Amino acid sequence: MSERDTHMAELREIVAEVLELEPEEVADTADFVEEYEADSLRAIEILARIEKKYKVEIPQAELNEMRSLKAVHEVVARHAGWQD
Amino acid sequence: MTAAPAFSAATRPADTYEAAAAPLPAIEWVEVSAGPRGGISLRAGTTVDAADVYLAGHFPELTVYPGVFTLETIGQAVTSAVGYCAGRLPQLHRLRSARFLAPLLAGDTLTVEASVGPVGDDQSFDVAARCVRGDGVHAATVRAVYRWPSADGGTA
Amino acid sequence: MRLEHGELRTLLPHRYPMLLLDRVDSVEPGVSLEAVKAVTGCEPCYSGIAEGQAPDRYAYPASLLIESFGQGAAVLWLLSRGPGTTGLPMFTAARDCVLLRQVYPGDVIRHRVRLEQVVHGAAFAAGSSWVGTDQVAEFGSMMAVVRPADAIAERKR
Repeated sequence: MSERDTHMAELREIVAEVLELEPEEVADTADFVEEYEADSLRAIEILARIEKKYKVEIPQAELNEMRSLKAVHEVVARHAGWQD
Repeated sequence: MTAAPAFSAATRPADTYEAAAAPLPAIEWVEVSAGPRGGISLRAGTTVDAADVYLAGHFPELTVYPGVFTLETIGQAVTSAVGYCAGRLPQLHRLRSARFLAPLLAGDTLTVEASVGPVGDDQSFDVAARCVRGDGVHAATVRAVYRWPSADGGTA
Repeated sequence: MRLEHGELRTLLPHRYPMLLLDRVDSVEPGVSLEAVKAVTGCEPCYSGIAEGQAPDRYAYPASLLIESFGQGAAVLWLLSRGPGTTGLPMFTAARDCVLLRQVYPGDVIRHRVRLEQVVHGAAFAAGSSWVGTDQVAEFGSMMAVVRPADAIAERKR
């Protein structure tokens, strides 16, 4: 498993838990709001778990961008310095 | 109304409120039908009443039905639907997750739709509830485990 | 630091009979807190109960126990936010909370609350509640936000 695959799997698990889905139900590019009825509080909860797990701080401005698993990965990678 | 065999007969909402300590009568009506695998499906509703004694303190400047009262509504609906077990009421044991998505203000109605059970060997059962406000807005989602406590009063 | 009841009233917008904390015995703002709630048979939740019910029917309602813990979490968070905070704390989510034992009139509940995270205006708290040496509840995660009253009252349609 590449570094990217590991991170994606971890993030998928976080997203699935907050949105109360099975990890395999979270598609890479599916829009959280449109596909899974997520709201801004769910986005904050996802962010909170990510900040705790990876000990990173992600600016509030990025919150609007984090609308799919792939987008979440890109934002976290940028702030956590991942070379994925 | 047909309650599934694993549950005893349903009680009236008013009886449920009088049967145990409760902050308010939290359901006006309950409907019960047979659900999958020996469980039941329930629908229940209430209206937020600013004159309720606890709501006067939550808050004096604006009546907001607290998230925990949505739990109370679900709990009383479950109690009313499943009845007692050897004289004991089912108790909330584990709140797996609760999400409160939209505020309920004075005059708002709250409708609970929940799947309940089936009952496990340890006298516990799952409840998955979706709560909708009068204007159709999704107000809350709750997943919980209820159980009939053992005779010594513990729920552990 | 210890907070008496009057100080709790200045921090929390909750009022009788929904102000479900009596005192805060110790607090490290933004980190942890220990709060006390004495349960009495005088509380209105005991007023509607029919005569002649079995002893277990006098158990303190789970909804109020959870609210009481949540108010401890709110105090801990509001203290760390400093002055100028306006609005009503709203309980928005909970996860993995377990009720272990019933609480009865005469019991004194002690909430041990930790503030786990504050992320973009949302607070996450965890902890446990005790009566004497018995743990009565475990709270995995409780999430709250503060919203101005007029924003709550304004209905999006």
